[in-house]
Amino acid sequence: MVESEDKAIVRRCLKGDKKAFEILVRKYEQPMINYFGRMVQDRELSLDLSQEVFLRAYGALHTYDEKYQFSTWLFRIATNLLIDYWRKKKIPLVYIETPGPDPDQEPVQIPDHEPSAMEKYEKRQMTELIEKAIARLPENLRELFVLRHINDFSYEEIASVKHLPVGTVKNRVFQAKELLRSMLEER
Amino acid sequence: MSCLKIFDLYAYLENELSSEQRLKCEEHLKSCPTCHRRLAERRSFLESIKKLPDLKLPSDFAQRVMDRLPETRFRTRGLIYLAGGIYFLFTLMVTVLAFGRQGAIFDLCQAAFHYLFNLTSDLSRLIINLLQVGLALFKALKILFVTWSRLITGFLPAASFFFIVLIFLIILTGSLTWFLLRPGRLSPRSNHYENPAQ
Repeated sequence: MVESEDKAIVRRCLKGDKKAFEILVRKYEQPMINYFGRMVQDRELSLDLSQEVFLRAYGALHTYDEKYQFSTWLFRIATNLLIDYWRKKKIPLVYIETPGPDPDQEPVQIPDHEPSAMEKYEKRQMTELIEKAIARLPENLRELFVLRHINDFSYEEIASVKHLPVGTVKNRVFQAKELLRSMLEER
Repeated sequence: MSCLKIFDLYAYLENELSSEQRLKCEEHLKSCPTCHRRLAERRSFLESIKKLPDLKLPSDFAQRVMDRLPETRFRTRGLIYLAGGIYFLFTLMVTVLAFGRQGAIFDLCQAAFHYLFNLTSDLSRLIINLLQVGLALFKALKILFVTWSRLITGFLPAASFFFIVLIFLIILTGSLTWFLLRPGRLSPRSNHYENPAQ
């Protein structure tokens, strides 16, 4: 769906078509859960935060400026919510030295693609390894990395979401990738 | 040519280079096995990131969001346009009445003005009546309050009465504070999601 269609849907919502908002929710629910899932490492919490983003977005829809892409505006709400959440909970930042999430905690579910049991096992192992390494990235690098390589935002879009210069975003994403790669090579 | 920077290798893989830079990069890669190996490693790394599966989402997530949407109506813009339109028509009417001569439009404006004048005077009368009723109600409440106060102070010494008022105010303030700062007010936790994996 192209960005102009998002804007048309927003206009419908503003005219009172509440149902139209569901189209936007369905379009962005997966990217949103992918973002929060990697950022907070807690499934329940990421679902709640995603839900809160959509509720906030709906409440503030009249402030949406069509100069910007809807996805950028929506993720700006998400990143602000995450900052609020961390501030409120006073969650310590996860640095490279600190251990990753609880290994017993379910990190991710893998859809089946009919491979053999061994392949499935190896793939699952690899996925878990990468997910754990992502969780060990410093927050500021992880967020930009997730937006770029999980949510497929362009560097310019990330710069707009985070109010950062494009060059800074590129540098930090680069740092994140190299750090992640070195963590994976350690294993 | 010296070896390519790792930063540029990623830029090459992500199509972030200009066509000229890309060509230079490809030229160098043909003759440099080190850079070629580094590029292959980064490509494989990015591919494995790309293969990460989406996190599972409850099938009814969107429906849950829709159920929780507030009944917000975005009338602000419509109201602004309406107010602007009415103001424009009113200005037009006054201008025609002030500078116009006899004619169909003048008659129409005159009729509209009469109608508006009657409507305004009716509304003013209604507002005055409402104010009078409000004032009467206020007086009645005042009498009631004074009577009750006298009755209560008749039974209780003044110090106890003020003590009771103080406790009432403390309870009211406490309740209000709890209402405003209660947990989850800003980020309501739904606690209704089931984990499909379990």
